[in-house]
Amino acid sequence: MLAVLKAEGISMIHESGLFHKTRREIFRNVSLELDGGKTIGLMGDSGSGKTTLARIMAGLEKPATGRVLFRGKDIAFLRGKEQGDFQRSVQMVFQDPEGSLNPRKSIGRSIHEVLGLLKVPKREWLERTSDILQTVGLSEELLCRYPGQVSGGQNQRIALARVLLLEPKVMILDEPTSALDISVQAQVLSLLRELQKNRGLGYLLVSHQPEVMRNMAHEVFVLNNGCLVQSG
Amino acid sequence: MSVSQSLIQSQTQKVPLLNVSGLSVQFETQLGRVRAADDVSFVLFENETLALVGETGCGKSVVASAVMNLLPQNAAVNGNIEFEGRNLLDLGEEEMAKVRGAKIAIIFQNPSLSLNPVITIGDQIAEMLQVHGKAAGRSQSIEKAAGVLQRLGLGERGQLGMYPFQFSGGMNQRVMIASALVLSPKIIIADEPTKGLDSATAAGTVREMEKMKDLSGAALLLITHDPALVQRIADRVAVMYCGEILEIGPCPEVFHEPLHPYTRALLNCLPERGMHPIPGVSPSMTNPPKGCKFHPRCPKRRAKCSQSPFMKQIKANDTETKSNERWIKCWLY
Ligand SMILES: Nc1ncnc2c1ncn2[C@@H]1O[C@H](COP(=O)(O)OP(=O)(O)OP(=O)(O)O)[C@@H](O)[C@H]1O
Ligand SMILES: Nc1ncnc2c1ncn2[C@@H]1O[C@H](COP(=O)(O)OP(=O)(O)OP(=O)(O)O)[C@@H](O)[C@H]1O
Ligand SMILES: [Mg+2]
Ligand SMILES: [Mg+2]
Repeated sequence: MLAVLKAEGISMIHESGLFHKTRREIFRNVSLELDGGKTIGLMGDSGSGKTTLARIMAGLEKPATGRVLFRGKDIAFLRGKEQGDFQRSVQMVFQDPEGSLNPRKSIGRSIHEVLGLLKVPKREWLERTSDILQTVGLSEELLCRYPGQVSGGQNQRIALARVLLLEPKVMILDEPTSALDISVQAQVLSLLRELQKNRGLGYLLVSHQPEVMRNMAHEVFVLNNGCLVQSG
Repeated sequence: MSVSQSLIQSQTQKVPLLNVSGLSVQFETQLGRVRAADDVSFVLFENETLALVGETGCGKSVVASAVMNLLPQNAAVNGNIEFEGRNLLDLGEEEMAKVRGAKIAIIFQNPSLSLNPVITIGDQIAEMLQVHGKAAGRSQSIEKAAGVLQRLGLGERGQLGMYPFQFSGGMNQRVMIASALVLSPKIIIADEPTKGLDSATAAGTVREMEKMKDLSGAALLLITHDPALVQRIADRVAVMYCGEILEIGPCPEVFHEPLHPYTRALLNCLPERGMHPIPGVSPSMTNPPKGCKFHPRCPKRRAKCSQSPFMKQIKANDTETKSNERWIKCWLY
């Protein structure tokens, strides 16, 4: 069986500095497979390259070498329907939720935008919106507000709600619960597990919290000194 | 005698730095008025670390922004925030600018919104020194900036010339911390300072924060979701729910013997205490429950709880603990 998403021997180099270019290798020769129904945990120190790896797998950045395959096809060469399929099936929830929502669009509008994209008939919007808010444990009071007008944890759940509407196959979750208190964190994690059971979702979960990993991940990998190693 | 006055008197040996009393913050929105802070009172003493905890959306960051006088236009703010003999809420923008950063510094919950994307990491911090006249020239300020960054584990020389987008989430988090510490403020407000840091980096960062705090005798107002961090570094803890402080007291005592039913419920969410979620749902802030806001979810509620309780000092002989420094807003006491 073909993996839904697969990284094959990827490495990443960042250049910085205007005059004295310094090249830094972030990681090398990393391979990783993501499949439905399974959670892969990704850990590593601050700055070890977790977000970079996650972004590459989501197709948001190009690796220096190696490739990322979506159902066996290199994502760099996807076109038309296949590309649309990839963009919908693989969704990323960002480490910094405030930064990923458009500050000039109300929460309601940014949710409706997704419904429009999905061609959901307008008469169903209200119901779908209230359903998804309930799923992530948020009140409809927030709909008229802008991202700057809700709390950190509320923003994180709004970002999650938008992604869930797209009904992805694989979700790349970069610290999805870092802004949440323990009670809401438990709620969100159990939601993710439930979705995995019911819809067969696959996750790449980046987290610093060992308890979260123990609770969620089937396999855990660690980025250390530029290498990806399986732990435990 | 007002709550805050007696709060001060009960601990005369400590010097109050910041005295927040009767703070209320309301936001006007299309879907009603949000009561984000409701009669919040607390005192922050010299040298101490006070933790502010409570579930997401309960109003912690709003209190922090109110102290910094940084709330948005749609906010109606009332009450008193006394610092160095003045009510910060009365200060004009020019006066407040001298307080911010130099006397009261804040580490925001969200680095991407508070770091300037087009200025290098080194200059972000060096600039603060120069604006507030704390360094002679550019090279001296860069030198100082490098020193602080190094203590937070960002020591590589090349890193000073990088931009926020070239840093990882945790690295930017530490840049924020460096910029809050560099001016040796009297009060540091840290909103989720260890969010997204791995445990080793978090521990190192907190150690540095504590060291710099002790060096300057500053007080720390720590907002966090991490109970382990609270237990390790906070002297006192204030528990917030739906815009109100419900309990405040010395940290070990509150963790050992929580008095308010909400504090008990919150501590039961801890993994080591069985991860029992709090039954019911978080209340609406536009239309909060009448009386005690926690009463619809409270296992100990009685008829009286539909009336608002007031903050009350608990005497030492009422509990196992010995201090007179516990305050509760609950009809049980
Ligand atoms: N655009 C860029 N240019 C140069 N260097 C970059 C760029 N983006 C990231 N880096 C560097 O790549 C390294 C890895 O960053 P990344 O964000 O992937 O780390 P991370 O493991 O997610 O860390 P954290 O846990 O702190 O979020 C860091 O050293 C960072 O400085
Ligand atoms: N500008 C605003 N307009 C309307 N409501 C707001 C505004 N800013 C914040 N709020 C609301 O005020 C409440 C308190 O927000 P605050 O950011 O203080 O929460 P918090 O306790 O810091 O939560 P978290 O732990 O998630 O960061 C939230 O319910 C939020 O939606
Ligand atoms: Mg990251
Ligand atoms: Mg907050």
